[in-house]
Amino acid sequence: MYYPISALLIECLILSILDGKESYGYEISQTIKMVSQIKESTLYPILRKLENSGYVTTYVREYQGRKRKYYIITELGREQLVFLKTEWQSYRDMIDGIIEGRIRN
Amino acid sequence: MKQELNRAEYLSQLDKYLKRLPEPDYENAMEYFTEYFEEAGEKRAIEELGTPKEAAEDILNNLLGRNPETEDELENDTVNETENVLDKPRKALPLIYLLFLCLAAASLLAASLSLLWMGGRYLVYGIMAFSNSLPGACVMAGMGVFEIGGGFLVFAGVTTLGCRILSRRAQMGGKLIIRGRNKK
Repeated sequence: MYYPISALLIECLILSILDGKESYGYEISQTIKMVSQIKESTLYPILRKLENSGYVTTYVREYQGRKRKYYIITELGREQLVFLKTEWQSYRDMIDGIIEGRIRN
Repeated sequence: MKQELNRAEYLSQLDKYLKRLPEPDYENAMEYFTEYFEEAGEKRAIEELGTPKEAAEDILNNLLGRNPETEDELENDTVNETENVLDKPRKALPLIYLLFLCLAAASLLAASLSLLWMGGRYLVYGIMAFSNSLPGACVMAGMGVFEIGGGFLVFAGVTTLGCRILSRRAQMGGKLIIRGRNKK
């Protein structure tokens, strides 16, 4: 994608992915990479931050003889997601409005 | 160019660079990237991450909330000493090494003290011998002064070096604690 994505929007995307269903690092990262050229070294700290803020928790499950860490959204994370979504919607509406010529100052 | 790294080599180098993180953060990061290597495959993972040093720099900068690519500051932390954290790799002094250093310092200190003692004695002998033989007395006194000087030099060298090493280690510990605290 041409436009860069801010770390805050990526937080919103991760929480949205997890809101539907728990997921593991690689799956999350592959979804994010559909819209951003983000590197794993940038993505990991965002996931870690979400974990430290209490928005997600993790547990480890065996998969084909090795460990896989799964991420689950918490109640706090859901509240944060509501906030992030409304922020995104008003941002998107404003951008759309300007692009389509409906909004000008 | 060291482009021929395999998975184990890559991860062990990354491990070395990430060791400067507080313990739980370091373990968490290593688990994540080990898992990523397993999922994505060695070749793809390395292609994306770049050299272990670049990857570690990215990870550290992002964890500390200083990413030039994403304009929003994740956290406004006040850590300002980490501009180029990777340029001076952290040395983990093993206990044996530390013990050896202490022993070396102690024996050097003992040597400097005995130099001072011997020097003092020669000086006194020299002065006492003035009535017997002037040249002999001068040689004795000269040797005494020389040894006293040497003793002082060794003593000063050992103590200043020791203080510097100790204070650097103390600083390093302090920084890590500060960084750990800011993470919350």
